[in-house]
Amino acid sequence: MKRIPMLIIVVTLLSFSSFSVANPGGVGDGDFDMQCGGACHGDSSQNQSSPALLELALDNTAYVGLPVSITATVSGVQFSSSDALGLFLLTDTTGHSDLPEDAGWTIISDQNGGDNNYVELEASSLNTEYIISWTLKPTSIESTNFYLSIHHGGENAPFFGISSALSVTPQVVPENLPRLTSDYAPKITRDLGENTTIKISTLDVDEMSIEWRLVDGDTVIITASNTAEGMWQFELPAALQPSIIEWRATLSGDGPDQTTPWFRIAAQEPALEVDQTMVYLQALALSLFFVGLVLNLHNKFSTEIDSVGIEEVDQTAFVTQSEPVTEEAPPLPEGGLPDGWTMEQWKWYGHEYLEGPQ
Amino acid sequence: MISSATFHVITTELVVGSFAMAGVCFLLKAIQSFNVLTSEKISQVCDIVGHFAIGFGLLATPFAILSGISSSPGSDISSPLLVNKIFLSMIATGLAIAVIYARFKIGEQIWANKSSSITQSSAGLAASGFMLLTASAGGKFTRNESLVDLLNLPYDTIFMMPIWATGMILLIGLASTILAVVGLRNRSAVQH
Repeated sequence: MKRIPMLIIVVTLLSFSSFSVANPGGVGDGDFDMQCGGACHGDSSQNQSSPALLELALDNTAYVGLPVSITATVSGVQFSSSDALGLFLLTDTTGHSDLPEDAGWTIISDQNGGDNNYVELEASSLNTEYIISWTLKPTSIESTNFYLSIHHGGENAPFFGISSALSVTPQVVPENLPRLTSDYAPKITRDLGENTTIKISTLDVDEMSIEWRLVDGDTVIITASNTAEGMWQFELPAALQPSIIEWRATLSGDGPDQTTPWFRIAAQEPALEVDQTMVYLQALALSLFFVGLVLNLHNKFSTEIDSVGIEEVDQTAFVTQSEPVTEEAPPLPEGGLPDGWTMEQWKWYGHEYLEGPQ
Repeated sequence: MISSATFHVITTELVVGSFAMAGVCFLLKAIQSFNVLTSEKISQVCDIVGHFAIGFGLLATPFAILSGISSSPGSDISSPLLVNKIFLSMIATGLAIAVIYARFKIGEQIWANKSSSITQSSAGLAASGFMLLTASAGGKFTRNESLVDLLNLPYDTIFMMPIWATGMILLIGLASTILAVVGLRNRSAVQH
């Protein structure tokens, strides 16, 4: 009879799993292969095909060693309420070794101020279209196919979709092209409350103007100052709360003017400054303290058990040894113990001697 | 090959699953310590499953920690959440080691006495609780939400002790562990 309640409990517990399938709250930005290796939406066979229309576009000509943006447009996704939307920029559809890095492209910045190939957006039923971009840098002339993959939820099920390929073939940088140096990596994070000086290293650039804006805000145009041969800098105002500023540079020189992709810099809480050795030492101390605490308690209680057992044995022995034999033994006959008798024998058989014929 | 982030997800799921199962078993054993649910079968199953699960979770823990370190952004401890994760996971590890060692040395007799039974089940439950809190902090770090958000735990606050206090606790822990291990070994030798 207990089987039926047990069965009900098991079925109830299993039914709860459907509410938690596929990380409805998202998994956070990161570098993930397609489907996150199964870690985001679980079993890929559970996924339904996303109705989203996915498009990728290259914003400018891609040159080897120079940053370029790839813009993704997502439309046709309907949400009943706010939900997480996960977007992957991939270079393969096999599910492994499909990051841009695997194809020789370095991600400089993503939509959320990081440098990941997977980003999450807070989607809303009010939006019909989402446009995001990645800024990347190719390191070789090889042609690469890019894909945009999407993860989202809806109707209590996970959805997956992938775009058609966008083929990109980087070109060799022409002579005298005003450009950033190939090893230039823009700063992508900064602490709150501090003015930020952005330094830029360039080649064949005589003049530089900067456009910067808060995401979806008005654009401010300033002129970068030339600090040395091929070195420029400009200043961004301090941010009072976590936010992202986009900026891009227009480079002028002997060659045709060039405009860099939008770079993003995220303002965030200052990183924690803590002595790592102290953290690990304190963690070890706490761990050992609890090991010692629990084992000492067990040692104490197990000793108590043993001592109780020992006391019981001792009491038995004490009673046996200290019990005066004469109290239980029959009275001795006149003249004392019969010949050949011991006191122990008298104790047990003395009464038979007294009762028997003498 | 899989990325360290994916490997971290796999290992943490093993750790959390094992500790959660162990937690259920130790909860039942704790209840049994007060003479409720006194089924011999449940008692035996909880004893074996609980200790096996916590042992398996303990084996998977180093892999989870190492893959977590390699998959975290940057190489430094950049967030109070990460510091709290280290503290919570190490406390859970310490408790789990003590639980397994005590069970190994004392044997089934560990459940023979109410005080020792409560100590063992409470330590097992605490180990599970601390490990689940560690997992919760991980969820808070990556997704900014976790199941225990309802409790408003101060994950953004860290409790760093001065060096002398850390040293003192380390010495006390080390000394008490050695004494207890010697005591339990002697007890085991006497019994045999």
